[in-house]
Order: sequence, then structure tokens, then C-alpha cells
Amino acid sequence: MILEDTSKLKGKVLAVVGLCKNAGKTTVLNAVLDDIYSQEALIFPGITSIGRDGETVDLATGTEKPRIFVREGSIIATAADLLRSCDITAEVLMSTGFTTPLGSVYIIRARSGGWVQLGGPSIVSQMERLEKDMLILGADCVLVDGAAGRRSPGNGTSADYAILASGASLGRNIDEVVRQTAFTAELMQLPVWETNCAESGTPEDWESAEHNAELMLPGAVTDSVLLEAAAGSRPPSAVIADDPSKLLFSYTAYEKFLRTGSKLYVKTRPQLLAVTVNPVSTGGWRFDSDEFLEKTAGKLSVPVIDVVRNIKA
Amino acid sequence: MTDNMRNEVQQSGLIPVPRELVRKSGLQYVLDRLSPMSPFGAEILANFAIFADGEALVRERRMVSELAGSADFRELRDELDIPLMRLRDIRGSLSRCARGEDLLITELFELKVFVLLLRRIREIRGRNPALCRIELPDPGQVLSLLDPSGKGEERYRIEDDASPELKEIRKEKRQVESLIYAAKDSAEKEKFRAQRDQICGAEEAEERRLLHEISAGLSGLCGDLTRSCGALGHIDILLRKADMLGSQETVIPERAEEIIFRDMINPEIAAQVEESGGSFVPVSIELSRGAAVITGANMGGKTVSLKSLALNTLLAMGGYPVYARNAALPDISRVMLLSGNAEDHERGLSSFGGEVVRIKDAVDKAGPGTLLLLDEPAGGTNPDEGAAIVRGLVTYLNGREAFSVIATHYDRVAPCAGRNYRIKGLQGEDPEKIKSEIENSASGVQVIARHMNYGLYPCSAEEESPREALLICRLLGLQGDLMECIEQQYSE
Repeated sequence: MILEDTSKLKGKVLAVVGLCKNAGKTTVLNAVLDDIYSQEALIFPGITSIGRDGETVDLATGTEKPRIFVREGSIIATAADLLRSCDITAEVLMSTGFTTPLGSVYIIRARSGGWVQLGGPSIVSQMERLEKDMLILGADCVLVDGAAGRRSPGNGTSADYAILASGASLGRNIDEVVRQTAFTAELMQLPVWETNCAESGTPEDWESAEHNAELMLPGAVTDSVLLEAAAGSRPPSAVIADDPSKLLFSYTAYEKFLRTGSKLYVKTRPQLLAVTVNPVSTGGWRFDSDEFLEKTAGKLSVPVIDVVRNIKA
Repeated sequence: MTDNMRNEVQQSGLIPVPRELVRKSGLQYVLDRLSPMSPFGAEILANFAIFADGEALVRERRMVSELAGSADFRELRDELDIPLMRLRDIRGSLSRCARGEDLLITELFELKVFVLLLRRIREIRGRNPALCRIELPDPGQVLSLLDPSGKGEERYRIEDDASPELKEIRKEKRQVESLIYAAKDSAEKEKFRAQRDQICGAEEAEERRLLHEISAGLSGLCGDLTRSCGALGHIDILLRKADMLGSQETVIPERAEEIIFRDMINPEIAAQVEESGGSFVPVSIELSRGAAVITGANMGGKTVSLKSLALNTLLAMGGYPVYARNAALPDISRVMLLSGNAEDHERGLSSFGGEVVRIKDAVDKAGPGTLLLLDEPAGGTNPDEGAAIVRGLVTYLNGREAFSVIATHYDRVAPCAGRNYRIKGLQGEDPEKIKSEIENSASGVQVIARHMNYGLYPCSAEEESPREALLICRLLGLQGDLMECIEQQYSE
């Protein structure tokens, strides 16, 4: 069980974001679906994916991966070509007009349970529209299978909640994987900037400013953008980025930034509900399940779950 | 006209207009501002064509007038715009279906939505007698295949009772599904899942059979639906035409033996003129068969008249309202606009050589239904020869049935033409006043442009052309001794 109480998902969007390929995103999605189906709060979830997901074999790595099973009444959004490989009894509710390499994306109601293959739009604005449409068409909540790689553009941007999936595929060194996971989780929990008083501008603009102001950083925040923002003798008290998907800087750059005394904020972000770990990698190595789970949980304030054994730290 | 094109004309009763002319005449500018709602309307605008059949053109104009004159036109338009806007181009699926291919469930969904929208548009159209003249077949038969329960909901599935077999299969599927959920252990779960896989296989096969049956039933109806796409585009464009008539200063032209435009404008040029602070002077012109000549001031004006004529004649022949106070013209099936200055790079000939080739081609094609517009022909060659060529050209065209208009700055062309027009230019303006304005202004050219009247007036063949070039030299302050030399040449 990942979500003990699914009632807060009512009318909301939950994105499952993978830190790497084979982090177990689909397993997480199935587990969340089980949580939803087994509780009475929600009955009909809506499910889609950024790009393609739900195949038996991972197209990128060739490894066997779990499929997504939905129950009768659930609503899915997927591309026309993928609908042919779903074994639900399908009722077409809406044509979104969004096209993908696998055809136009349709919103479908499952008139029976079944295995589904998901392939939604990969453009942020289209995903936002799709999430709204699924809710309008009767989905109680929307689950989005996010792209693998937290740094994919717009990953989970519009979601209310997020689950971060990490796994051994991220690297051979367990401590390094744990550190990366903790760092990403930290960035996904940055404080949200609430006031509107900050001025937008580049670091150069800021240098001429007299006071210790806040600095808006629209768009991608790379190592150099982050460090320039905090450069100079009077670094800004607050540096404000759009959302966690725009934070592309490294751990070392972030450490340097923190030493200047500046603080990083985001304008919006989903609430991180849990972090999941998959001790099995696609490369053939695997971590000790208990060690991986304990080490990760030791660094985080949110629940950490082993997706393979389905146990919580 | 190629055989292919001729066939097309016979089938559709329309003659395509070259893209180049659509752009050059300012027609593209007008079309870009019509905002059709449906993909079919957009397609009609993108392939702008004029009517080959005079009777069809008369019917079209009558429909536009009646529609615009309907008391409830605005409500009708707003109501129709909603379903029109939601139409998707389903012709790809229709042609697949007509070829005997089976459609996918998503395609049947699109088709069902299309037909529901079509039915809605038919209902609204039923309230307006003008629109009722557009044939829009009742899609009832299609709906009975796609919406057997007749609920009219915008969703599609193959109903359980589409066949007794399907009903049985889906019942089993549901039963085994609940067994999976209730399974005690994973071994039992797997057993039921394997059962389910088999049932899903049977469901897929039965659905495929039903999709084939529905597609086969639809295939004979695809022709009507494809024609409906064209009719829906036509309704869309009729609404835009009626809109033009109601909201812009336009009229529906009448049919006449001669071409008459009073106070005609060209919106693209008018917008450009207004942007630079001026105002567009409407053009009035009357043409009989044969040649008319426009002469006058050096600073533009002649081209504006020709482009306004081309634009409004094309609009008139496309069944659109025209930008004029009133307008009448016979059926014109071909408009040609030739600019003498355009270089013919493609054929690698000199500017003049290219122009001769184009004039030869145009004279070949010019028939009774032609409006031939020549802008400064032979303008780039030496003035003595150029003037002789233009006088010859005008004399020749004046003896032909086509309507020709030749804009030229050469002298003594007028006596060769049937009608003469002159750009008003600076006539009637006080040179002293302009001069003092120029002295207080950064750009003398702009001051002159502001005073320049691009309107046309008919003049006699004998009327001497005003020496406006000399006036402009003086206004713009050419050196006194230089002016003396020039004036001496004039008197000689």
C-alpha cells in the first residue's frame, strides 16, 4: 500500500515521476490503482501517461515490465494505435485532437476491467487540458504516469501530488543513488514562494539593484544560472524558480549556492506524497533491499516504500 | 487549361484562381480575415475559385443577400458557428470505408460526432429558406448504424446487444473479472486471468466482425457524407459572405454588359495607407469591351486602381460581396494582372523579354470573359519605343472583346483607347500651400504623398497630361539653376 487515504485525491492530479528508467513507475501506478480500487473514497480514476507507457516490454531497455490493469468504470487517455492493444471493453468519450506518433489521443471509458497501454501527449499545455477534460468527463482523480528522468520538460508540472520513483538503475553505488534520490526529493519539497513582490530579471539586472532583493528565475535553472544568481557581495535573499521540473543544476552547484546564504523557492510544485525504491536494476546488479530502503528513508521526511516487496520503511 | 483542370471545372462548376493573383490583388488579405469555422470552409478559402456557371453565381449571390437580410441572421450565424467549429475532417476515414476497409472504433466515434453535428446544423439550417437551398442529405441511415439506441450521445462503443454472441462473451468477461478480484491466492488469480485472456480473444474477434459489418453498412453511405462535407463548407462560407455584407462596406454586384465599380476600395492597400497616416481615396471606373487607359502621376495610384479592379472582380465572380458603393459586371471567367516591372528570373530572360512572353501568353488567352490588367507595360524599355509598343498594344486590345485596362505613363496613348482615365494626382491642390508645408516638414515626399489624390476621373483623349513631374521637381526643391535647365527642355 502506498496511499493509506486516497480521499484527498478527489478532483486532483497525481503524477508518478521516475528518477531513471526502470525505477518501477508502472508498478507504483498499479499499486496506487489498487489503493484506489480497494478504498471507497474514489471509484473511477482517470489514468494517462506523458508519452508512451504500459507495454509488456520496455521499449527503451528491452526488459520485462509490468502492465497497467484498470477496473471497469476507469477512464483512460491513450493514442488510437495503442487502444488496439488494450483488452478493456472500450467506450470512446472524447477526441482530444492532440496527436502523437501513435495517432490522436482519445479519452476512453473502460466498460470492463482490462490491461491498458497508455500514450498521452508530451506537451505540457496539452497534458493540463487533458487532465481537466478527464475530470470533466467523470474521472474522480487523474493519475499521470510521468516521463522517466525527473528532468524531462514539464514532468508533473501541473499535478497536485507527486510520487517519486527511484531505483538501482540510477547507478552502481548505493550511497550515490541514495544521495541523488534525497537531493531530488529535496528539490521537490522546496518552499513555495507565496508573495508577489519579487521582480523578474536576470542576475545582471539584480547586480545594479541596491537592496537584498528576491530574484525570479524564469525557465530552466542550470548550474551557471543558479551560481550567477547568488554571485556578488550581496546575494539575493530568495531565488525563485518556476517549478521543480525546471531545476536542472547539480548537487555540487546547489551546495555552493546554499553557502551564499540565499534560499531557493519555487512558484508552484506538487506535494510529494512518497518516494519508492526498486532495488533491482536493468544493468544486472541489485542492492540489498533492506539497506536501500533504510538508507533512503534515513534521509527523507516522506514515506519510503520498496515497490518490489511492497513494504514501507 | 489542361484536361485535368477542365474536368475539375465541369465537375465543380468552379474555376481555380492562381495563388499568385490571389496574393498580388490583395484577395489573400481579405480571405485571411474571414475566419471560417470548419475545416471544409477553410479549404474552400485556401483553394479560392470563381464560378464558371453564371446561373450558379446568380443563385449564390441571391443566397448571400437573403441570408444577410434575414432578421435573425446574427443569431443564426452564432448558433451555426458552434457545431461548425467542432467539425473534424473525416474524409480520410470515409474514403477508407468506401474502399471496403474496416474502420476503427475511434473512427466510428469521430463519424458519429460528425453526423450528430451534421444533424444539428441541418436543424438550424431548416429555419432559414436561403440555407435550405443547399443540399444536405439526411444522415438518418448513418445514425441508425452508429447510434442504434438513438440516444444521440457523443460517445461511441459497440453495444453489448450488438449481437447475441457479444452479449454472452461480455457477460462471461465480467464474471471472470469478479473472480479475479475475489481470488484467494496468486495461483487462482493466474488461472482466472488465463481464462480471461481467452474471453478477451473471443471478444476481440466478435468486435472485429461487428466493426466489419458496420463498416460495410456505412460504405454505401460514404458518398453522401463526403458531399455533405462540401455542403457544410459551403454553408460556412455563405455565413462569412453574409457577414461581409452586413458588417463591412460592401455590396452584392449586379449583372450588366459593362464593368462598373463606384467608390471601390482595396482593404489591404487601404490599411497600408491608413497606417502611414493617409486615407484611401475610393476608385470609380466604368469599362466597356476593348481597352481603357489609365494615365497620370508618377507616384503610384495606377497600380492601386488595377489591384482594386482585380480584387473586386475576383470577389464578384466568387459570389462574394465587393468593396464598393455599387457594382455591376458581366460574367468574367479569367482575371489577369501583369506588372511590367516584375522580372522573369525563372526563364533567365531580361525584364523586357520576360514581359513580352507574358503579354503574348495573355493576349492568347484573352477572350470575351477576360479582364486583362496591364500595369506599365514596356515601362522598362526606352521611352520612344516603349510608347510605340503601348500605343500598338492598346489599339490592338481596343479591337478585342476582352475588357483590358492599361496603366501607363507614356504620352499620346489615350487616342488609341476606348476610354480614358487619369489619376487626379495634385490637380486642384495649391502648390504654394504644399510648398510651405514641405518647408516645415522632415519629409517632402510624405507631404506630397498626403496631398496626392489617387482617385480616377474620366478624361477626353485630347486632354493634355498635366506636367506633374515638373511640379514635383519644383516642390521638392531641385536647385534653381537645375530647374531652369529642365524647364528649358520642356519648352523645346
